[in-house]
Amino acid sequence: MPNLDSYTSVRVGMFVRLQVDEYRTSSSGAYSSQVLRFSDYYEPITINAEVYTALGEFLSVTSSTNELRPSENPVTIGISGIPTNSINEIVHSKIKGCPISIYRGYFNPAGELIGTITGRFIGSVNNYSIQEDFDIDSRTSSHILMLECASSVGILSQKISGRKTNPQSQKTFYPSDTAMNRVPTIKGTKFNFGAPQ
Amino acid sequence: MSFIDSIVGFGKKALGFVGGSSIGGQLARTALLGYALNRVAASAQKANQQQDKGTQFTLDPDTEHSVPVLYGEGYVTGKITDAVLAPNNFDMWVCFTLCERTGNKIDGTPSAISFKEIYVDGMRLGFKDNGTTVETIWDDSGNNSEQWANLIEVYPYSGGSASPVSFTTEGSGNTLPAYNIMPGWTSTDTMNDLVFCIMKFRYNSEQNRKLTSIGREIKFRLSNTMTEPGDCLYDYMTNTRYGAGIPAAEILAQ
Repeated sequence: MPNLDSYTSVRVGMFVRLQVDEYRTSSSGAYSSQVLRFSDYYEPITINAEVYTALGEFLSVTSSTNELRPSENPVTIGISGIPTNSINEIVHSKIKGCPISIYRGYFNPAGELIGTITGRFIGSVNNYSIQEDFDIDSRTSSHILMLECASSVGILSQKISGRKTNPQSQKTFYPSDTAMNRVPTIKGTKFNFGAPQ
Repeated sequence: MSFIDSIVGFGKKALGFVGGSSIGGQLARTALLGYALNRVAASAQKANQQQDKGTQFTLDPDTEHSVPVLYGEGYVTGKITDAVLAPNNFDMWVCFTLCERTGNKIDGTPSAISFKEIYVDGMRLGFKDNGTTVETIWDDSGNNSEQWANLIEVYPYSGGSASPVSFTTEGSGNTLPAYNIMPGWTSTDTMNDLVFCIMKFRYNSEQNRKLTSIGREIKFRLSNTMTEPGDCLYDYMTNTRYGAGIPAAEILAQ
């Protein structure tokens, strides 16, 4: 985090990078890889040669606790003002499980970045929900997308990896490998080592 | 009259005494019958004692055993994942699965796991010139013996059935794919990314050369070229098979 001691006022920007490997705009469309970059800043910002679209007040990010040790706390991201005809893109794309990163930048009143952009949250989209906001006067509706994000630390703490000495586990990684097929069979088998024929 | 007739004549005289009706003859017949029965019983007992029935045992493969990851150097006992007793009942083939093959170091160099030593029931095995057949064994005090010479063969593999390796102490060794060694295996028994060892035990019940089981504990001393903490952490964090599966792009590794 940059040193803000010499500043009387600063502006904070949150920058979200969501990588959707299987993204499509309709139920019958072909999947393609799409990286969604957006921020709550008032103007587009380029970070690592990637432009983050300014959503301003349409983006909200829940607060997170700052701890010395890596935290498992989840974060919820809200994107509002989504037109009805864009809902297909959300529903038919595979957003669950997508890696998501949130960065934070501090700007002086002139809009200049103070220090560097720092990471705030790294994790995956655990689930999402869509809420409809209907405007009676204009008879139009917009939607709010809520992305529930699980921290990488939380995901790793629940992760079990590796393989066991049984055919099912071996075939998970190598479906055509038959070398472990006999493990259950030889368990309990009696061997008459050296017995006369 | 030949000497053959003389022998027959002597036999008739002796049998004439035994075959007579005198008390001495009856006693002699009883004694002869007892002696004959005694010899028959002793012969049967001896035959029973000489009949080696072998050793019957079960193995302890574990379907819930997690294959470990080895960095640096260490001793691994492994788990039995296959066993075959040859039709002659004298040759026992056993496959010990030891550990995972590890990935690349941070600089991209592939890691390699080598076999340094093998111990059977605390005895270190030494090999003949072919690098696979046991010749000498050593105990902890350095005493050696050749009691298991030619009775055990060891075929190590590092990374899969098609990756035969030799013990680092040997000039030559295993060169054949595992599916050409282990009875019943085919080219689909690939043991992908596993470090394992196939051993052959030949039954022997001779005194001083006894090998009637596959031992209580078989221990392998393995060495991985991946030893630096940074390399090990990076491998464990990024490996998708046994590690955390974190994308390498998310780790600033140098």
